[in-house]
Amino acid sequence: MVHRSHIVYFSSLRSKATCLLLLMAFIDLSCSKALEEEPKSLLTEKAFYITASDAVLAVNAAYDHLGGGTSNSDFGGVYFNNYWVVQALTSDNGKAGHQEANTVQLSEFRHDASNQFVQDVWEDAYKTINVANIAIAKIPDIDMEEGLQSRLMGEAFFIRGLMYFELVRMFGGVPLLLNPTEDLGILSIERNTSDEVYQLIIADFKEAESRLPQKYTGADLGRATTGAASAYLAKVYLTQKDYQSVLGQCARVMEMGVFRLLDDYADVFKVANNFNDEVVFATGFTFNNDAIWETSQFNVRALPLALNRNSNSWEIPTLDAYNSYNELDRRWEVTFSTSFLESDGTVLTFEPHIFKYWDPEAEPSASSGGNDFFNMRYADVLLMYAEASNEVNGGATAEAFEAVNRIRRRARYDGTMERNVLPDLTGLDQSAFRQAVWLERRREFVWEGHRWFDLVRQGNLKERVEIAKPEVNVDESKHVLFAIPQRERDINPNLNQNPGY
Amino acid sequence: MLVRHSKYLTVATIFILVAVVYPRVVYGQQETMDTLLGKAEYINSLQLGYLEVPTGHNRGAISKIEVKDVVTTFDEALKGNAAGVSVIQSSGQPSGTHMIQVRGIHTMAGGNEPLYVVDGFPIYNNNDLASSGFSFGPTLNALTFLNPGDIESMYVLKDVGEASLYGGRATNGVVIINTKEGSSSDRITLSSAIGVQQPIGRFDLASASQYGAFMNTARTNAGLSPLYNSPGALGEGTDWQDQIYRDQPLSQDYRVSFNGGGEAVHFMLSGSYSGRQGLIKGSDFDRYVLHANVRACVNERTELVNSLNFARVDAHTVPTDVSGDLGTGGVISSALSFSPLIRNRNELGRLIPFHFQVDDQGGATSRLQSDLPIPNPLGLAQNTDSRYSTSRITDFLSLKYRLAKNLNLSASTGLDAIFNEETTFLPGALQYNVNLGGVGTAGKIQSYNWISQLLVDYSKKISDVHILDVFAGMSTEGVSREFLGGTSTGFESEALRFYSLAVGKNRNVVSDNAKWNMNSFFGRVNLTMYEKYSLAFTGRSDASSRFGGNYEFFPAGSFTWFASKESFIKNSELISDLTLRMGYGISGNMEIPPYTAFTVLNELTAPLHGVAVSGITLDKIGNPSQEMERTRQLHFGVDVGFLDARLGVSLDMYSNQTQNALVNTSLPGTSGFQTALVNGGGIKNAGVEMTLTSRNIEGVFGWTTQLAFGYNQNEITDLPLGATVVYGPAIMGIDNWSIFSIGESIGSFYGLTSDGLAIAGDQSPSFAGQTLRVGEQKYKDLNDDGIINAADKTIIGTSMPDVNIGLYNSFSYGALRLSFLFQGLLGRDVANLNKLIYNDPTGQVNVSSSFSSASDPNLPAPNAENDRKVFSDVLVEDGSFVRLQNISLAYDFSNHLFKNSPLEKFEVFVSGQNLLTFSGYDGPDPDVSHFGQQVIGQGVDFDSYPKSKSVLVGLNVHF
Repeated sequence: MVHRSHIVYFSSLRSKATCLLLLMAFIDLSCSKALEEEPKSLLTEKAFYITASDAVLAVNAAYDHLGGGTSNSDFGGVYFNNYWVVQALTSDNGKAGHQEANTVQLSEFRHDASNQFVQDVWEDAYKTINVANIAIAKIPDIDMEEGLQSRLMGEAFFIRGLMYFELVRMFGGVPLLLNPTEDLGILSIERNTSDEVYQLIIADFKEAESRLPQKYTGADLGRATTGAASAYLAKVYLTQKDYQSVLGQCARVMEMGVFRLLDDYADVFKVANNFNDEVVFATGFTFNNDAIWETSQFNVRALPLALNRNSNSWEIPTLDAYNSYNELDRRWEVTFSTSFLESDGTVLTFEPHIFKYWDPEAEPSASSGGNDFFNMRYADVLLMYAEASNEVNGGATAEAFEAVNRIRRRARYDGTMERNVLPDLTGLDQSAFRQAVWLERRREFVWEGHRWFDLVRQGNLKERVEIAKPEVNVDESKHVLFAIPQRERDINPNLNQNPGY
Repeated sequence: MLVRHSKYLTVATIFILVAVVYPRVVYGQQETMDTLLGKAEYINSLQLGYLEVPTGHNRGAISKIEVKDVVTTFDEALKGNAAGVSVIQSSGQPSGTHMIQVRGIHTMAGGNEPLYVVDGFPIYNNNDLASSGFSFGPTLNALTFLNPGDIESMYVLKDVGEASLYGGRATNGVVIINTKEGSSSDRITLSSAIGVQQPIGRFDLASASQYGAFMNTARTNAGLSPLYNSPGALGEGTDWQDQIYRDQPLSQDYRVSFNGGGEAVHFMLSGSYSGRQGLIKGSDFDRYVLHANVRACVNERTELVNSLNFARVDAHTVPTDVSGDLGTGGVISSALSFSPLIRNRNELGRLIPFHFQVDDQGGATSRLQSDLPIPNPLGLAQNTDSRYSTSRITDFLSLKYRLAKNLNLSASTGLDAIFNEETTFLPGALQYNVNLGGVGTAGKIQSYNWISQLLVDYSKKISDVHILDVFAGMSTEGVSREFLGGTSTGFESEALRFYSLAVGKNRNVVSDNAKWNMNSFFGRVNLTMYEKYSLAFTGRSDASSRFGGNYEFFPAGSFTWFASKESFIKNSELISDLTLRMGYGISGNMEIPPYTAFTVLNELTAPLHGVAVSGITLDKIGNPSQEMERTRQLHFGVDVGFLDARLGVSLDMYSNQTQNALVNTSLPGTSGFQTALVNGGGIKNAGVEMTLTSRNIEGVFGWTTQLAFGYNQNEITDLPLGATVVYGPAIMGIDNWSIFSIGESIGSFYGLTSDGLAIAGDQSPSFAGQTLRVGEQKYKDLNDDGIINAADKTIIGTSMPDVNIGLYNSFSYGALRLSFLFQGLLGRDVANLNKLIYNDPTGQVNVSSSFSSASDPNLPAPNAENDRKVFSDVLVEDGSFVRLQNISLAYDFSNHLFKNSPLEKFEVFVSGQNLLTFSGYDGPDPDVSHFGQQVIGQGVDFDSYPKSKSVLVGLNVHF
């Protein structure tokens, strides 16, 4: 190195001046060693957001955050499990199957600002929003084919709108962040009003609706479509009780001809049918024993401990949910089970558990789940249409009856024939029809992440939950929103808490 | 100092050899004190890295360390030997790491270890440079590369007086290590020691019949039917601690060295081997070290010094200190948890792989509802295969050239090359999910530390009474680290294990690369007047790539008054020495990983329509404006020697304020990120230290004593971005238990406070969604809102010790020597998370014998449904301890048995390590830290590999 030569010189040279010169040379050499960091094995912004492929990867990251992966060395995205666990437990459908504090709190409506599941939903949603914001900020500057550019922007708008829609329903008005987090000076922001959040959600979904295609092929299957944006707009309007707009959005989806109900309810949840014609938008999962974040958590959490598989009975259905069906209803036998026949002939019995997501032929060990999480099924569009039509027209029209009867007809079908159950609805008055649609929603969507939202929207959270779980007291002034997570308020004192927490 | 005076050299050599080859027999600290007080004739200066500080010159608080015992790594020798230096052992595995705290903790996100200067080569001990992190269990101590037997002297520079020459790396203290050098006369030393070990303590766990009865009670109390008809008949069952520990594991140490040379060349060559069988089956440690020091006077102006060290470490490790949810733990937590009802082998002679609930006959009935299955501890210890091997070559070459009278130029270059390889194999049988099959991993690291430096020193007597010493230097140095690793899963045939990762079906490869470098200028001016007053100014300017390459300046000034040279004391019979010292300056800390300034993108994958797709997005937000942490240090000290230095006392006081500490500050979730590294933390460390040395009795019978005492108070004075608290990492699914909070000490524990046990009909506040069960642990509702939750948490202890003490005594009678060292840390708490297992009321896992026998009225009632894991003061215990670190008895036979032989020494000794511990701690050993050297999360005891207590016999021969 440098010194070896110096050493030789030093031993032979005598002149102080020469030594000083060498000293200067040494300084020079020392300083020429660059002190600029060059992270060779880390990807930084400087080297990214340049090509069309970078744009695709930036948007893919937002999808990744919905299901398996999130950034910040964490795993488990928004719909990995906390979201639907919270929805099931804080309703008349589900209760705690073990004594884990977060689970029990939610099940018994004693959750507070420290509930970890709720905090995770908040954090995962905002991580996803930041990822979508990055895509929305960076993609317009990328030199690429305009069609793809617009579509990718549409996908990012869709995901951002979806996240704010989940947040505003769970927490009320939340801080609106529309740009990527780039400096640390934006930490103490205040909550926006719920109206402001809804305005953004509608704007984002409309952007998505106008930019996205009806269908994808090949490797792009599963991305957000214009139909998904329309259906979500319908749900936004339904939540706002703007029934006229719901009708328009639902009609748009129904007229597209892209979606249909599968013939047999059981087929909807078969792993092989993950991306079936009924799925308007889904969060993807797949079997992968080596990547737990790629597999869905339904089996691990919901199947009985007694199965002696990788299943834990963590959340189980209430008897009220179990008993809300006619026994011949196809959905009842698909959704629940109280026994299992092992291949060696042993019969295991247990209290009712959710079995709709387990496909024992595809995954006998139940250790990983290949089922997607269905954010929005076509059945939801039909039921939203029926509900809105009933409100707009002061009673159910023939189209409204037909929409709900399509759901009931499908529930009669057991794979070979229609059973003598769930006759077509006719002649109900507005109130009876409304109740009938709500009951159909409940039976159709158990454990699909809808129930708490539906109960809050329908104004019968307290009534239904206290019937299903008599030991529970629901405070309607409080429990129609979740608490802003305590960690969040510790760091940002400008966030007001929701009433009652 | 180009050529040492031969008389000094000989005496010094003898001293060094005696002191270090078998230092037990010499009361080394006495020489230290003498040296510091300027009384010793045989060493006239301290070699302190860049400086040779002559006695009678300005200096600050310096502790000299003697290697008093057979230790594996030299940092262990700091235990109890230096006032103000606390040493906490992270893990008891052979060659485990230590956390060294010099005058407290001065950082919240960076490293807090001192800078080691080995024969002039500054090395910050980052264990990650010597470990790819692929082996099971905690990282091994990278400092193991030096054999402590090769060390001549160690000094801890504790304040800005001298340490500030290391500027941006001075805050955590500087440990100067000088290895042994050659001499003009030949000498051979042989030393050996062999010993047996056993765990320093064990958990007292329930037998099968006790556990069976406990499970019955837990189930009955929960309204469930009991499992066992006659638990008493279950007998002792399997003692899983017996299963995992070796019987009498051996330790061996051998060292041979040759000293020699002529007038112009001195050399010291040594070779050594250390072997340790681990206490836990499947773990061991072997080290080979070759060391060569050469000093050559090339001509009257030129001196060459080279220090070369080669070390090879081969170890087998076992999974311990695992921090995950219960059930993913390591050997120790599994041994605590595993049911004693499970037989150690089934009918086929195989291990039962997992913890099951078993029937009266020991047959599995059902899996327990723990989050994850608990693997068999013996299987984890014996059937996993984890290897660590590191080769490390360190060479430092200096050339010193006398340019003119009093003017020396010195150029040095050093290279420290580390080659590490770690491999593991986890058999499929230990995977609960049998589909996974075996898992093999392999990781390799190559790291290089390098330095080039140029120093110039000038000394001039500018008048009869004024001496000026000037020293200036510059250096450029850096570190590079390259890592390559792979994981392979789904081994159908396990015959080839990690030797062929290609057998596994699913393979992942990872690699990374990191570099940093630094340029520095430094200097010192020292003016000594009338031999009474000494004034020094030191400054260093460091520019590190980790901090944007900007030069940051660290100045310090210090003043020493040799009051005993004043006429009014000079002739005192009582006071032989009186020196007052004071100093003020700014030191720095730069121990953060490289590239934290960058916002980094990361790839993640998740399925979209059944196929995993990759996405790339921002993963970690960077801080391009971060600065080195700066600490203002103020200190006063006084050294007093009485009665011709028979009794010496040093007192020091200091107050150190860190002003822009880096903190991994929590970001609001709305940012999309969890944390960011930002400046703005404030930390205060203030304390007093006392070192007392005394030659109590002199003569045929001799008795000497050294007492080291340090008291430190630590307080967080500020946190960045207006934060009031920052939380540490989660452990066992419990988060927010470790906290940085303004006004509190670093290492504070944050949790609930206990409030007795619930009685029947108890209406005390409880958790949301919970009614109190009879006999359940209750907690205080601090905010009186009728509900127990996170808002009721408070500071319930701190892991930072208030006091560190060491007491050393040596007695001699002719050739017989007896010495012992007590060391202790007082005023500290330890979070005993093992209690979450052995005091678990559900019966899901085995419990302590006292819990099962219901002998402790403070423990909750067994209840199968009470499986809440709460971080509370029930877990936080007083972790103060005093330990008999070492006791040894030695006899030198050379004068009696081998008259007229060339033998100078033939010494046989027997010594014991860790034989006695005085502590009220409930676990086996409070001297642990689960998170190693990481500052946040200090003081946790969980799944810790126990330390050994051992007895050695040894021989030191010297001719």
